Amino acid sequence: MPPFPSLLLLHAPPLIFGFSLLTALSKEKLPPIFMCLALSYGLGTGLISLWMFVLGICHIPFHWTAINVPLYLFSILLYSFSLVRIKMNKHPGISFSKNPGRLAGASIVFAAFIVISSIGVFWAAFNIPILEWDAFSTHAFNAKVFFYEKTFAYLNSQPHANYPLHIPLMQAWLSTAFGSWNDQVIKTLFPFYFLSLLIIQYHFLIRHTTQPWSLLGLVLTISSPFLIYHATIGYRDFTLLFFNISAILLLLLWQEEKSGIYLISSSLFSGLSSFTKLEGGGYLLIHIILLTAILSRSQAPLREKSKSFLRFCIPAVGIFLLFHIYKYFSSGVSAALPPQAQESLDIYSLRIDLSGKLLARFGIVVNRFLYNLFLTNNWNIIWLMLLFSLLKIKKKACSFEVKLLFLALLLFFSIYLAGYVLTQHYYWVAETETVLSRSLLHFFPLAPILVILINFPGDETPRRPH
Amino acid sequence: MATINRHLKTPQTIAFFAVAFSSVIVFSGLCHMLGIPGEDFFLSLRELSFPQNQNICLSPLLFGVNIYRLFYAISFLACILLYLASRILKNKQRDFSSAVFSSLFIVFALITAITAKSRIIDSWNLAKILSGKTTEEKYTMFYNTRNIYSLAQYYKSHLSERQKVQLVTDLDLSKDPGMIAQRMLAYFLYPIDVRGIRQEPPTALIFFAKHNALASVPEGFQILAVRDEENLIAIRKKE
Repeated sequence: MPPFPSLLLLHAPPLIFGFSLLTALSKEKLPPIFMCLALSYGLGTGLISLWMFVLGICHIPFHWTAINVPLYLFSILLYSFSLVRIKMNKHPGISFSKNPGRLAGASIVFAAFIVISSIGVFWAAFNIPILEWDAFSTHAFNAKVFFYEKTFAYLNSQPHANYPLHIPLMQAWLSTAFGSWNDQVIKTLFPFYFLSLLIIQYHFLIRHTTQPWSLLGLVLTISSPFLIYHATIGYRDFTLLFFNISAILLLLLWQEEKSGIYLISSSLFSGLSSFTKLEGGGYLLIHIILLTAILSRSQAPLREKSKSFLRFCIPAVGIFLLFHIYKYFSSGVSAALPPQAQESLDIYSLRIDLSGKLLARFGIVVNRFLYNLFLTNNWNIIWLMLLFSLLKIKKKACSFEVKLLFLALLLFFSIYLAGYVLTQHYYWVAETETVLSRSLLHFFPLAPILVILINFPGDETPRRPH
Repeated sequence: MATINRHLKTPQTIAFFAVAFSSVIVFSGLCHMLGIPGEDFFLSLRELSFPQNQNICLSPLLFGVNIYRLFYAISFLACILLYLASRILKNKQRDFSSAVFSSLFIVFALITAITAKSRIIDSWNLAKILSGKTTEEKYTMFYNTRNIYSLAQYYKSHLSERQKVQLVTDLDLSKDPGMIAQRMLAYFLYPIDVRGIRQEPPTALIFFAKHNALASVPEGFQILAVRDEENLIAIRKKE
């Protein structure tokens, strides 16, 4: 295993690619430096996996040169574009907003907890190789196939053939950049998503609360043993959590600051969530509903609202359609799938069951939800804290952000309740422990964020970093 | 004195005492109900482990009781005490809410401390075991059942890099442990194709956990290497 600094360097290209995209897309002053890095990492990894996908569908082998040279050239082009705009005075320049100040009091304790947890996440990801069931069985295996074959020629006979490809492609890219297949290197992706999530969540909370409360929000989030564990293992669920939550928080930041970079980043993250797991397609719909709620409240003219709606939908839905159209036509809906590809969730053949057992199934699914939320060691007592917070909330004093986040939470619960009660996937919740916790994980951070926003005392002045 | 009195009446201080008192009541109540000495109870509480799993982190049981039920009992009792305290002290609604949130935060901190302690100890022990080990050694340590990793390295050393092989085994591949064993083997072996990815005819057979493997080699194949009586490699005879 190579030294830690050289492993860190492996992750520099996504930052370079993502930052070039960020600067080119931004017409206003960029967010604080760490927020830029967090956004750049998400955008950069998305750019890499999407580019590899395009190479794959064009039957171009994804060697190191074919992947990275065009991306570096593209980045140089984008940086040049940004510099030209600065020279023409059409851009405020690449200066960064001021960062929050020194820690004091309880913030020190919270920060220490966050730092120690983060060190633990990085240590586990950099020292424990791929070990988990799904990794061996599907996405790490698929990544290995992509690494060796450098093509999509065998995609239809690979396990979970109709699943989105962001993680297998990123893991294949990591090994390509490393020079050989390495069961440890491919796991180093996930702690960076963890760090990026914390930064984006902090940036959001600091706009509405103070430093101690924002750090407390992070503490509440990472106090979930299940979330922390998933940040250390090579599963796709944590990546989906990152893209999903970031898309929602960035939408809210756009709504407050009207900075176009937040809208476009949210759109790309929303699209990337659909390119990470199949559920991401449903989350994209939820993001569009949230955007519609924001726009319906806005005082802007209809033309502006339509432009914003399209600015979000075109990239997000474009990414979604790119993968699904390709899969639909390349595999053929009615074609018989090889055995290893048949075990997956097939969204082209969801069966809705409206038989008389519906009420009983609803009861069982709700029971499983309640058990998972309150009587497992997945989430600490965050859901109880949220329940208390919601009970004490006053409708008049409820901010728009709280209402929107609560709406998002309701939508996520509804989509899963409906999905598990009405379809054949009832089995996975009623008879196994395999999926429910991971489904809840994808939107869990909304709960601690809501707890902080609702309980933050109104008489303390929130910090505004800009 | 006035300062101390003022601090004692803050919502946070009252919450702290409410949680402490509730904890004593709940834990001593449980000990009394189950007939367990207090020492044994606290020893068990200290030795609780919190297993982590990619599908669910189950809550440990303390003498058959889900530990989270105890935390909720403490929280509920603390809320009742805080309500009574707010009536006696004639506190504002806002102070009562603040006290309840503080009490929940204290219970949250307690759970976080207990689970974090368990995690730190497990991670520290694991770090000591893994220190200085190569990836190969780590896999051999983690997956010693059937020596899957070392078996895969053995098979790889006798087969060409892109060979298409068929797995012959007595394990039930439709469920664990057979299913995961096959998948792990396939992962470690690739680009030697065990899972039919390249859809070519197999040129070799891998016998894995196959009883009396030597006698099971079919016509048209010859033995290439024998690891032990259940694990060997056979290749197609040249015509």
